Amino acid sequence: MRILIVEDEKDLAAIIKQGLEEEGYVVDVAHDGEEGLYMAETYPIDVMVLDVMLPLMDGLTVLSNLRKKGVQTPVILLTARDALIDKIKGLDTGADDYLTKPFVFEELLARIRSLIRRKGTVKEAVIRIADLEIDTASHQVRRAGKSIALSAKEYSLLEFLAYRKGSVVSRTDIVEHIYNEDADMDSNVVDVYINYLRNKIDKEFSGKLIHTVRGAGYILKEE
Amino acid sequence: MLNSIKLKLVIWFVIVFSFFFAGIELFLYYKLEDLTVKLADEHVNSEIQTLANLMAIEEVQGKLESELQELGAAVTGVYAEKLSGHYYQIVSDDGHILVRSPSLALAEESLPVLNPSHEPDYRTIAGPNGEHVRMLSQTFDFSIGRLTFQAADSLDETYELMGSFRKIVLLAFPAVFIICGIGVFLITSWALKSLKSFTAKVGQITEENLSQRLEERGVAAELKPLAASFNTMLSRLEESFSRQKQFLSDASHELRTPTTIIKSFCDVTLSRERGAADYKESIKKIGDTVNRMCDIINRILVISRMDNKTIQFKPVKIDLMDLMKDVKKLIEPSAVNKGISIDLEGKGVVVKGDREGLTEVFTNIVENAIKYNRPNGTVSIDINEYMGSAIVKVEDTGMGIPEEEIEKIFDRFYRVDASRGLTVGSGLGLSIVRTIVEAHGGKVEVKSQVGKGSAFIVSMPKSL
Repeated sequence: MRILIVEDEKDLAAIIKQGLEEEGYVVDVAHDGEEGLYMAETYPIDVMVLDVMLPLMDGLTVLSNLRKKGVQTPVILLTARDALIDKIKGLDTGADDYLTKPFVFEELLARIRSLIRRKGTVKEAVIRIADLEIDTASHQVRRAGKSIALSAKEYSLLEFLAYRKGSVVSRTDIVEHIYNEDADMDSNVVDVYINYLRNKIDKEFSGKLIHTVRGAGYILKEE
Repeated sequence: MLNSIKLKLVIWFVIVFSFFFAGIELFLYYKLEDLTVKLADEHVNSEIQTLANLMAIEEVQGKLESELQELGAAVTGVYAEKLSGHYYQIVSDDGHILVRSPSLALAEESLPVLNPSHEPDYRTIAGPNGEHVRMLSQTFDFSIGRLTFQAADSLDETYELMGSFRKIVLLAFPAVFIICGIGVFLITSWALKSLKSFTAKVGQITEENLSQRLEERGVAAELKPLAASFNTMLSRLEESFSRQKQFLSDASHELRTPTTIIKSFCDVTLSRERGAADYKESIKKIGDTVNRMCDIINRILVISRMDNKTIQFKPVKIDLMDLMKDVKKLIEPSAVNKGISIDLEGKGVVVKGDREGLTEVFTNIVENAIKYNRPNGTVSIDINEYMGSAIVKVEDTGMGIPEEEIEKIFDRFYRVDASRGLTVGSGLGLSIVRTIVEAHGGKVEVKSQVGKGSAFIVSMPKSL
């Protein structure tokens, strides 16, 4: 899952980025409104965390420009103001959620997860495919009741596929959502990680869940 | 209750009115007494004159003796009636009563005999019937010797009249007292009614609806100035309230960003086990942010103290050139980092002021000149004097300030950089600068050209 942070306080942006990356997200950072708007339009962002007070272009303008251009990326507004009128204005401009500074980091994570779920077909924090369970809050993965240890990248890939369970996901899609703009990645790397995942999830259990669709990509589904 | 205008008015009015009423009554009473005595005097006097004249006429005709007899018996009217209250008697030189009016004789009574006196001798004495009488004695010379004529009129009727007058007055007094009190009470109540509604209106004004004003039209003329000054006070209160509110909200807003940074560092750092280097890095960042918060808090404190006038400046003689050299020394390292040079020119000018305060002023101005400068720019400081004032000019080669923002940069928490992609301090610096300079009797001016740079000019009175 790829997340864009638009925040002019560099320290704050950096620590949010670190926290999100540790949660397995791919994170891009913009430090002003114009850069933020550009990145939100250009990259396949899953959730955007947008500060309201920004240099060059304020957050609400960025948001309304995005919506005007038809970009429907879920947006969480971050602001130091908690006046009701600001919240209403933010939500009416097209924000999906609202978080007042200072916030508890766990809450930001929960709200991001909630927005990711809202976009897809999955509505619960725990995604189930056959006997596979993926807890998106604690990042615990179990199959047939047995706990499976995954690396951060492996988890990201599995979660990305799980949120789109039953649909074919292309390699490019995968790369764009599990790597940020700084990474220079070949789509072959996806095949490598898919292989790792298959070894951990499918190999020792009965019933394949990860399937290759020739020429199109991958799909996570029950056989 | 004792402090009520109404009560005071009633008491005062009743007291004054009572004195006035009592005074008039006393005056009338004594006037009446005086008048009745005078009337009695006239009456007895005319009686004596009549008797004396009669006797004088009879004496000429030689019928004095028979006349004396007649006067004692053949009289009609009030003098003939027993103890009628009107009496006369004639006394011989040896004190022998020659003639008594029948009113005396019939009761076997007489008037007290006095020593002969040619001058009329008026007295108020106890009469034969135990009544009060007004008596006149006067001695006249006749051929048969000196005769003293005495006539007396009872005063009892008058005294009775005065007694009832006194009674009426005493009875009327409390009634007048009460009526007067009630009257004044009603009048003052009516007069104070508008004050009451005024008070009710004032009472409705609270912190929540300070924008309300009292209606000045239709208010009694005496209350208009009160309403007007009340409204002025409300305006001042409202302004200061909203200023305080704004300041508080701005201040808390300023503190939210560093708080968020600290909180996020704590949350993220503690979310998993880490190596010592990670913790160290986090704590360092948190420390930096805490420093930034302290700076903001200190400035907020300075401003609120200056607002409350609890900061006492200790004025000493300060050479601005020396002070500026210190400031330069302090700031130069950060200027060098940006490749900016600081030029200090001019001459030493001495002012009287607070060293710490003025250091704060010029540090802020020079810091701004560096912060908003272009890389490798210059900051020129010039110290001079002009018409008894010390003038410090700090010029930069930065981006300049648009005209419409020049006044706003001195507002608390205003940041000219919010729209320019720069992240800097608290937005309190220039507000502090202006407050301190103005406390020194000086002023700060800004001249700026967008794209070329800004000049901050501080002028303050030179020390003599």
